[in-house]
Amino acid sequence: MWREIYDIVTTRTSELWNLIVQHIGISMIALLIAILIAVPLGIFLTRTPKLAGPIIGITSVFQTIPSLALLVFMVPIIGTGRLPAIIALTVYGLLPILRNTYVGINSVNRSTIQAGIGMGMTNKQQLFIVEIPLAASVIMGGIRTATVLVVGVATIAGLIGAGGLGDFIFRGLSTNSTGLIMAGAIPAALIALLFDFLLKYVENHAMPGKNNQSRASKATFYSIIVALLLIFGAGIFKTVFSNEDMVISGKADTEQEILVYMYKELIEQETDIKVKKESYITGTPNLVQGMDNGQYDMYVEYTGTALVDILKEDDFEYETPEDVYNHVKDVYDKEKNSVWLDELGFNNTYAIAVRQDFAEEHDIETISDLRNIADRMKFGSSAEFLERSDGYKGIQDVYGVSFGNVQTMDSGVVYAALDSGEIDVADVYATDARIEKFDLKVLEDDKMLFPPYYAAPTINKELLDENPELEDIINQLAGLIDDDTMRNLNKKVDIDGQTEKEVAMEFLKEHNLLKEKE
Amino acid sequence: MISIKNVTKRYNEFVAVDNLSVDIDSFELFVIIGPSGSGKSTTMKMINRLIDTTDGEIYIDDKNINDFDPVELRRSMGYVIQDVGLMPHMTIAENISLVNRLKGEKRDDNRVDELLTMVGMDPVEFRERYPEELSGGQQQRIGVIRALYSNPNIILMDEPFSALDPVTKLQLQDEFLRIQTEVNKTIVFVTHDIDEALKIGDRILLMKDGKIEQLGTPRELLFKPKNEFVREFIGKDRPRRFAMQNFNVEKWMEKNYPTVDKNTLTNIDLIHVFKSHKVNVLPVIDNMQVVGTLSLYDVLNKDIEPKNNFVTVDSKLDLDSIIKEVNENRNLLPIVKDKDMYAGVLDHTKLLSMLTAESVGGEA
Repeated sequence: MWREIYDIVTTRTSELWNLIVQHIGISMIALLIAILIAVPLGIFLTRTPKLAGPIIGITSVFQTIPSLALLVFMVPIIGTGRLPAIIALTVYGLLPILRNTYVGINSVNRSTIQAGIGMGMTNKQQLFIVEIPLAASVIMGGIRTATVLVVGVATIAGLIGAGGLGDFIFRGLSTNSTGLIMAGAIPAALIALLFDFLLKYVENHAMPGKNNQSRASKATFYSIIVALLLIFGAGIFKTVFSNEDMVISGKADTEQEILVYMYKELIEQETDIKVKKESYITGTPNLVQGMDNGQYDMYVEYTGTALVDILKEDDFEYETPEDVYNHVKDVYDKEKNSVWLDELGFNNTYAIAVRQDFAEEHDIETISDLRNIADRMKFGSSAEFLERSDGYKGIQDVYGVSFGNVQTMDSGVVYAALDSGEIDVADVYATDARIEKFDLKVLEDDKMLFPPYYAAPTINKELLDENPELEDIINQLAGLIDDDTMRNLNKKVDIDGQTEKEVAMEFLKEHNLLKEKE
Repeated sequence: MISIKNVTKRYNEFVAVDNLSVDIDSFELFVIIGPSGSGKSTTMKMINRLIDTTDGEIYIDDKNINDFDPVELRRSMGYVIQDVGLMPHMTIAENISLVNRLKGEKRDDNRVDELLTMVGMDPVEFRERYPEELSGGQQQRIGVIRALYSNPNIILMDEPFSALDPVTKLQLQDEFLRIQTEVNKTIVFVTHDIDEALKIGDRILLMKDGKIEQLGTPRELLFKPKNEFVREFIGKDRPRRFAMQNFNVEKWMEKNYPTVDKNTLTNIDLIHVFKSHKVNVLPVIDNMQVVGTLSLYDVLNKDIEPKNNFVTVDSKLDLDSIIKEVNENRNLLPIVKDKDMYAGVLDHTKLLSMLTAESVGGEA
């Protein structure tokens, strides 16, 4: 495992560094907003004690909402990306700062304040000369707690395309790579510890009334403050002022990620357009919404997904896969603000897989063959497959197959679960490299339940109108990647441990799509 | 001068101060005392508008305090509280000069040093230290000089010495009295400690339920209590103790006691002098100054060297030490005034009549 982590850190240094900067960036913006809200609010509450109970109560309730739930809850309202992540993190940071500000100011010695008022302090002087300086270390303590909390929770932001170290963690989870998980988790923990340490130092030195600061330690104190400001500033600057013209997104799996890198490279080498990659988004609806509201400009969709999930036309009659492509392209042209470009060539349809030895033992070739033994089988399904009309429902209706035991599990752990015998059967993607790695048998869809899932890029109509040259650039990949090619590319990442970016560049090079750089 | 005119302070139904009228003279140390809930603190806090009056007016030098901005009014007076309330995050110098900062002025370092010196604290040692490094007594000294810093005419003190241990308390009271003779301020001093009030007050206002029970000098309260409440508040033992402690030597000394001139000691028949005055000890005077006493016993033994001591009128001796002195001085204690000028003597007979007078509570 350490070897794996080491390889990732050394070969993907710049990517890791970017994620770290992103991670600190979103955490610090959220924290800054939380401070700007919570400190004045906390001060206000000390002036209106009647409101203090209810308001601190409300923020405590926010705190108890699981971070994942809060993020997912925000997606339909605000969409994906940085904004909902920052809002959710801000909400998390509020309580510790608010509570400590309130408690800190309230615990300032009454007689000190009394003396101040008696000597003729104005309300403002009372606050700024007495209360805030004396509560400073307690408030700093709250900020410290909030920082550690926010830096930790920020890993979840990877789920909704906000970037940060969560990206590595979720990729690692879905590709079963401990190294990748650790390469995300360890720096996240280190960042939290670093901030905890630095802020603890500041907190201690914000303690008033002691002659304990020698000249040297004062210098250390100020350099730590400056360092903190620089880290804060750099992260925030990077996050706020990065200007990109086009956002390419993608779903949370390896092949999508590889394609995103290819498109980004192609577009950037042949145009002046700056491409921002905001990919690895969990859940198709989030992508569709992002496209609809213009947050994303481009991503690769599958014809079957478009037909069944997006357009909800699961009763559409078709004879060839081309029919489906043409149909969704037409509907998109009429109804949506994005258009379909040419198909890439591979069909990443759903498939039902069992272990090879299991198939031999029970003599199974097709899905129909499962009917007699299904009630004794354990089925590990992705959540999405369970809900789709052409998923498990279809298997039950069309094939009359009902499994004895059904478990929902992440596609990342399905293969390991199959391999260990924990489950007997699972839904997989046809292009998944792990089918080969784990020696799985893909059962034939003899009753043609699964619609074709041919991949093709969809792109924002307006952007394409403004930059018509994009169509040719993007279509350079059209027809180039068949099932085997895609599975092979996936294998390079998921099994051989190359990065998505490397694999993407290699592929472009092999097909002479990469221009020599001067 | 502070004039409190028909002032009432009501909290809902509760009347904290009830139609109070009193004038506090300039340069006087005015003590307000009373049991808890008597309205003593409320009265003081109305003077700098920490509490506003419900009815009535307060004038400072004939100006209604309601015409001042409360913040400006407070800055124009010194204010000392029981818990001192020094700013823990500021140095001693910053604390003393706090009012400068409030007004947005620069600190006067000379003034800080001058005040520290006045309360016997070395400026070099203490200027840059923080309050928590100081003892309770030192902290309250800082509290007092902080109030004096901008040289206000009026200083309000709310039980300033109550939280101190008895020894430190007595020290600070003495120091405070000495400072008052130097700075001469109008001081309103709230306390619940009757001994403190009697010791430091020029005048004492004894309050109960927001009303005046008695207003007068310590002596008046001690020896002419207006009612049973005042008598009880003062306590049975206190007038006698007070008298003993503030013993008026001059009033009780024998001015016409015979003396003998030092220069004649060798020339006259001393035994005859003793016999004719019917005494056995005589003060020896040299040019109006006391040099000691001479006893008949010594003279009979041919020893005519004057012996022993004398006391001065204004040395504040209590009765116990006077009795001791008299015993140790052959039952005769010469008393001197100003530059050792002979004034009179105290002897056993005088002491006896004094003791009987004090023990029945009469005025000494």
